Amino acid sequence: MSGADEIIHQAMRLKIMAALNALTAQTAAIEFARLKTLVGATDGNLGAHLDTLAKAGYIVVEKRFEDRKPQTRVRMSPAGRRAFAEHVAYLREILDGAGS
Amino acid sequence: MTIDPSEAATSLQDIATVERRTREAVFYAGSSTIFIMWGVLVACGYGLAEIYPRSARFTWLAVIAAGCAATAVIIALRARARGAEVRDWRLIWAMLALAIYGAAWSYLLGPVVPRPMMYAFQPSLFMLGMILAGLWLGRFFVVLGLAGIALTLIGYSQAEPWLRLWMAVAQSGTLVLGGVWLHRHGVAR
Repeated sequence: MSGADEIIHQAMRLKIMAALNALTAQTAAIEFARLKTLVGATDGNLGAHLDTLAKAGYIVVEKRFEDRKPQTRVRMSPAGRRAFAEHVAYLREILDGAGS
Repeated sequence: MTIDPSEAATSLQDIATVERRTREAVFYAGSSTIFIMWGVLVACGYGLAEIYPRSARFTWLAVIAAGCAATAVIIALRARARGAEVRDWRLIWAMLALAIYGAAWSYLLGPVVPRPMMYAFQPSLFMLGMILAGLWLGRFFVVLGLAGIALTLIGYSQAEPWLRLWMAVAQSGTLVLGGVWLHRHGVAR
């Protein structure tokens, strides 16, 4: 059994990773404002958690201008996708272990 | 770090909720073009039927055929752009079956059923399809379908002699506004 991923397991970061994981294509990205709505976070809170996940190499944060407006887009890295899958498998193993 | 079973269950539940919400938002964004296109097509259908009343039945058959073909093309192009296959065509086939069913009955009943009833039949069937699709795709479609049916019924009972105009505005307006809402609230990729 692989262990829990402490970075991912924090409640808000878990939601962020779940939202990014649901964008199935490898290159799929989501706007900061949309992500904020999906996970129910505030600007500052989301920004801080994104920094943590980016430092761990689990996500990539892209800043660019669209129609002269700054736009932040977030996508999951392959390492993040792997780590999230392993963490979810670990959570399921805990439940399976409790049930048997 | 140790996680107990109840915490694991809560985390998995949170993951499932956010993933469902995200997929719903992605679907909303993907559907917006289709909704706006249908709204414009329906408005064209009403307009052409007004200008050429004798060809109204053929006009509507053409509108429905064009709408179904364009919908299939948009879905296929989008899936190809994402490098993914369309996972489940059953819902699309179901909507197509409903559209053909409505068109066939409109064609057969058109000459014998009172006009106001025919004007109400097609939109309400279309909105029923949206409500049924909403049971799988998201609450927004259920709400939009119910609003569309309510407007259709109000028009049917109140809007003579402006019934056709009412139906045109109510149906195409519902679709276009719905499409705009989906675009604003969806997650584009």
